[in-house]
Amino acid sequence: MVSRGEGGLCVLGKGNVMRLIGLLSRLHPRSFGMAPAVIEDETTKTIRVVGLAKQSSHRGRLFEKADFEQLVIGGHAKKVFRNIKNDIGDSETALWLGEQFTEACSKINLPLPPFPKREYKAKTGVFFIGTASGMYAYLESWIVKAFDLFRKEKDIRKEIATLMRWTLPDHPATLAASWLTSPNKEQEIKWQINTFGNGIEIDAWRTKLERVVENLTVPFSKTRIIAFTGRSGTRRNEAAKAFAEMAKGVFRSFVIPLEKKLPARFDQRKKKKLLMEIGQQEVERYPLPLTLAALENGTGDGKKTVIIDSVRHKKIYQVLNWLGAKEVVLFGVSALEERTPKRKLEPILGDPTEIEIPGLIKRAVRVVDDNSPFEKQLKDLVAFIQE
Amino acid sequence: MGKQGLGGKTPLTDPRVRFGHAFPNPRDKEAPDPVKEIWDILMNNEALGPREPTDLGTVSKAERLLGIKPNKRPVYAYVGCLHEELGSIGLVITPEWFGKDAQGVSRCDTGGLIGKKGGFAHLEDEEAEKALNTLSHHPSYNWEEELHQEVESAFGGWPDYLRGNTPNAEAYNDVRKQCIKKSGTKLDRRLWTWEVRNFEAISAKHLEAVVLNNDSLKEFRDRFGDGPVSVDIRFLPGGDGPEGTHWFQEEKVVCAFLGKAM
Repeated sequence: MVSRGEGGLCVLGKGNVMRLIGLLSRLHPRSFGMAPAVIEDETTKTIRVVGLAKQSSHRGRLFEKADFEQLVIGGHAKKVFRNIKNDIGDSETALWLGEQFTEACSKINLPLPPFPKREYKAKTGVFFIGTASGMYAYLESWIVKAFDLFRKEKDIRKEIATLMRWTLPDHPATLAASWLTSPNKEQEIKWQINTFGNGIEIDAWRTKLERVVENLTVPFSKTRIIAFTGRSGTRRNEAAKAFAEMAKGVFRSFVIPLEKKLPARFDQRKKKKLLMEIGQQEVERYPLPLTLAALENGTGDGKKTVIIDSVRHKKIYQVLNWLGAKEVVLFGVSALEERTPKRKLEPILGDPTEIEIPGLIKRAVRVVDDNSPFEKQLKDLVAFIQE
Repeated sequence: MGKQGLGGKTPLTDPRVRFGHAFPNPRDKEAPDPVKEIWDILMNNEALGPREPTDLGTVSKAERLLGIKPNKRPVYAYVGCLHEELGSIGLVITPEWFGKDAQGVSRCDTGGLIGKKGGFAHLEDEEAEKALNTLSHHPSYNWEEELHQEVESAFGGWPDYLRGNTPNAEAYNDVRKQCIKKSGTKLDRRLWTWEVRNFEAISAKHLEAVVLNNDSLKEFRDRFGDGPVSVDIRFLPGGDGPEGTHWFQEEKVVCAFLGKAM
């Protein structure tokens, strides 16, 4: 049951009804970053702050609603006005995206990552809810991509450096970009050391920045990602693995990170169903972190080709294309005649983890016929990617 | 006022814990642009003087009981504490600021005590007023030594006090003991954080560090990042991480309060 109160967001908790009533702190429209959230227990009327790191958690301990209201009046917190359905725990937070930040990125063709499905609107921006680690992955990945563009596009370096400072001001890439675009490099270094440098010598700090400029790259920039898509009931997984071997690539699967989220005990007969449910939730809430986990964050064992099985959602395909890989290739596996009996397949094919697959297959550059022998088809795929 | 020291001079103790002043107070009408405010202080364009109290009645009463005249109000700071309520900017102030214009010291938050807020809520008015007298001292009192002893006894040392951990109630022999015990799990740092009051405004020369949360840092960098940098004043920003938002860099703030290298 969702309770609607005056403004605010309602959250289904176990027991009392919780309401997300606001975000901290100033949430500038030019900013992209994490924002601790203020939760009200509708029954006890107490509030708590979530999203603070453990070392700072004591700062939210005595926070009262009157304090929050005053922060809103002073412009140091934002009230929010929509309902959300997911539980929000202490390890969760909001990811804030200011509208001016979005506009500035668009102006210089610096694409934002594919965000979670559920976007909540607030004044001067939007936000998403998720675990701190999940939301941080967006910031970290974006910063690295921004720096990649910074290196390539000299004419817009100042704009990019500004956006990076509005995201993760302490990230090594941000510091390097700020130093390179500063009108007074020596003063910039002094400020950085004074703020982030822990007493390090100027020359050592400069060397550190130079190393970032030289070495920091997008994790997949030298990697070709080959993604397979295809419905349940086909031999898609088998095809992907066989292809990985033929192409001498490394094989990755979305099942691996999803299996880690299975409950400690479950009925093995229901494993597939559970994985589908978990998979759908993860795609909706954490498309980027899920994809990074499936790709094992770029550790391709030194190999330049990564084969990933399987892409079931447009969102995940968007994430793969956003990651900045050397190339992303989509192969489909399709069958005119199903191998699995219809009665077993039908309950599955209407599932959210299946319904986007036909559309993805239409985007695939090559489609493998599941009803024909694989070997020659896969050899043709290998030849295709080697062209 | 409470106990007077002998000889009038406060002996130096090691470490000399710094004072903290955090803003904006959520109820503060005078801090509409706290980022500019800190910039003006750093550039010596202005000093941070007494603020209009947000709870005028309570603060006025407390100040009257402390012998403070309404036309000469002090600046408040806290020993080793950037007060809660999620102020986004904090100042770490040198002990030398508390000098010839010092007004007094109290062993707790005086506004919280007289207003019977938070952990003080169960006190009667008379109890609270009496406690204000017992727990407050003239600046010439040997307060630093006594504070050290209290912190050793109640916390086992400075780090736990500075981290906002809860004390051992048995270490106290005044109203704070019962208040701490009655507070249950929702312990209120105002109960044991020492407060100082000084008629001298806080200016750049008194600052050892400026503490900024992440949003304030972003704004500060954007508006004033090209300005001159003082190497004598450290900046300690908060930041986002996979474990959540570090409102401030808490361990560095602890070091700053202890006067240690950060």
